[in-house]
Amino acid sequence: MSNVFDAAWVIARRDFVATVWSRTFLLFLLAPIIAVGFGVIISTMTEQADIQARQPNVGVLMEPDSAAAVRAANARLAHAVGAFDVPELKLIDPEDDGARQAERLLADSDSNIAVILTGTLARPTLTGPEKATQSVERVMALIIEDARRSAAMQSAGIRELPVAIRTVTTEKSGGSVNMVRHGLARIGQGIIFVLTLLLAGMLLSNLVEEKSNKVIEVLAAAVPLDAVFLGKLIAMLGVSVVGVIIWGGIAGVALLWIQDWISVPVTPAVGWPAYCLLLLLYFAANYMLLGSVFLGIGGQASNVREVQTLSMPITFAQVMIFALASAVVGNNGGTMTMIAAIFPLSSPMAMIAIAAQSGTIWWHLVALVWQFVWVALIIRVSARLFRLTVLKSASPEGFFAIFQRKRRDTPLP
Amino acid sequence: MKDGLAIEAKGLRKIFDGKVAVDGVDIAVPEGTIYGILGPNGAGKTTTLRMLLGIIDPDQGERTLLGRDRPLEAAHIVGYLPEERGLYPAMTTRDAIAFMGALRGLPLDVGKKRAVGLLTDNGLADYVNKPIRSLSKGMAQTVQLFGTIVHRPKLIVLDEPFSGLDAINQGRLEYLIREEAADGATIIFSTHIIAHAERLCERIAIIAGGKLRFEGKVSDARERLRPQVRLRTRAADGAWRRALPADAEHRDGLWHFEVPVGGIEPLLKALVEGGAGIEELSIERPGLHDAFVAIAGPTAAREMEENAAEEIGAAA
Repeated sequence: MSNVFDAAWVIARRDFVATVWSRTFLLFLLAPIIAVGFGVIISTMTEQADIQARQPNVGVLMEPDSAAAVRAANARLAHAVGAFDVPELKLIDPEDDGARQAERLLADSDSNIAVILTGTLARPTLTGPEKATQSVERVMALIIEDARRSAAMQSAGIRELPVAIRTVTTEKSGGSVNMVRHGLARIGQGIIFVLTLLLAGMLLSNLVEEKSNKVIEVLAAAVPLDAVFLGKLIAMLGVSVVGVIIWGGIAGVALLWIQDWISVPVTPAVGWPAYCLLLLLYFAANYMLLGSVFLGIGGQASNVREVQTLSMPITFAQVMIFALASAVVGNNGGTMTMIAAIFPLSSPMAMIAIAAQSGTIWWHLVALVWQFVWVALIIRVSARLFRLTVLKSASPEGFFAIFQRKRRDTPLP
Repeated sequence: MKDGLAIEAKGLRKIFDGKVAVDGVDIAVPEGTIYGILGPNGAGKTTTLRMLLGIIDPDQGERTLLGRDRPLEAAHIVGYLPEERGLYPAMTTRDAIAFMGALRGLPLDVGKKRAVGLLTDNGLADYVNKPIRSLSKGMAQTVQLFGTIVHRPKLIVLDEPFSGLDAINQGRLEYLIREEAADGATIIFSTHIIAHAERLCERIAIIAGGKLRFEGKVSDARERLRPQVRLRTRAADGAWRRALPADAEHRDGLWHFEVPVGGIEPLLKALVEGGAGIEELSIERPGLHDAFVAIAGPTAAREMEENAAEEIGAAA
């Protein structure tokens, strides 16, 4: 068996060096950083536009006092629930023929007004297309009600006092712990899923190089095919870990910068050190599980075009596995949790969610052993399938002799 | 393993997609010999070598390689040059040779040192750090050959090693094969160019249509045919004609026939006494080509000649 690992190491070293020392690896490292940076810039630039786009603009055609009261009520509501959830108001001086003015404003695309509020605070009217009026009707009712109350209090000479709530801070509450841990579970799953989705796809085309430049025969004559598959898997895991370390380092620096915004008072159930270690181990397990499947499937492809065709169904399969693993969050000990934790391909993502929600460590030891047993099994099956279909080497015992260490040749009759 | 045999195979049989590629091949390669497998393209040579090396399993039959039933167990003392050469284009020549050695258990640093030595000794010192993609086909083949022997294997298996090489490189390769054999390695190679086998091999196997037609010493293959007599006479006819064998052929002004069973002296006496007037008489031992024609049949021989002609054209 050490022969397999020695040979796998030789192949892993070659593949790792060949990948990391290539010019394209720099692009590989930079691509996510550029994408995230670009996303941050674009989202900052479009934030204001988003706020405006979230709720339709409401034109207010009311007497000045009423219009001012509505605007003040709108501002109070925006302060309480956020600008995203209240409409943008435009105060417009009313003309004599209010109905005609409203009609004209709604028809004018430059005015960017979706709905017109006319009338008085006692008898307000919303004019506009059905969907637009429905979308603001309730919130406008709330705003007008607040404006009415405010106007009534003013006319009665009652000074409006802001409500002061005394807050007593505790370290945590049962509800908040669960909420944060569910969040951590989802974040852990998301990290494993996204990284695997981005990185494991490389393995699909990994054997195409050896097949196209005929190196595969040199390898197959020198080392067991299991070692070829394992070596490639280890190499690509190494390449991915290099990427993750660099991206993680940059993300870490960014987090230090914004740490005040993201302080998390609740730890994962297993504690931060164990959670981080498990995150790394489950990423490795998930990568190797899916990677060995991809390597096996990609090994059957005879050219890059076939690999490209396979990419989409495989991405869908990954999303389905992620969906299965997602069922674990908030479902401690349920049937779905058991299924997701036992099914090998969803097990790492399910278990990281369990690590966030439950403090039992030995489950993870069992799960990791289980997952790596499946990695070995999938590699064995993939290598066997490769011999069978690509090298056209069917031993007399057939495909199901995959666990047999020593093959006995059929003696001559 | 029988004493002194590097490779022993019995009854190897392989079927691909319902077509018999190799059918009942027996091979015995003594240690320290140069052994050739001859046959036209598609005869089953490569499949036989792949089965011997364990790249593919036979459907039937058994084989031992340096005493091991599982050929991969002997991988560290075996070198293999496949028919379709395979190297990573971005690797330097030194790293490619060292990598191939490492696959067979040679430490990488030792492999790199030996690679530099091999390249330097063969006049390729300038190419040590050049990537494979920058080499000519012949040079890349030489690099792969060095990768095949860098770990100093006991058994070297070469599949069509002369294919794609020009005459100079073919000569170099023959020299290298002889050197390795002199150092004690067993060498088995396949070829469809008889001249290489004739010059290098002590034993051969002739395969045609997936079947083994001959296995044994080159001299035994030749001795399947009797020496050929070529005779030119002054007299066109006479009593001497009765001394010629019944199957003697007259073409291009010469009589061609095998040396009679009774030997050459009674024939000479009969020719002289019969008034033949001998102008020219030669006795030629049949070459391996003649033996191949006799053993594998004219169709296989013609295919071999066509393969060789294509090879020469491609190398040119």
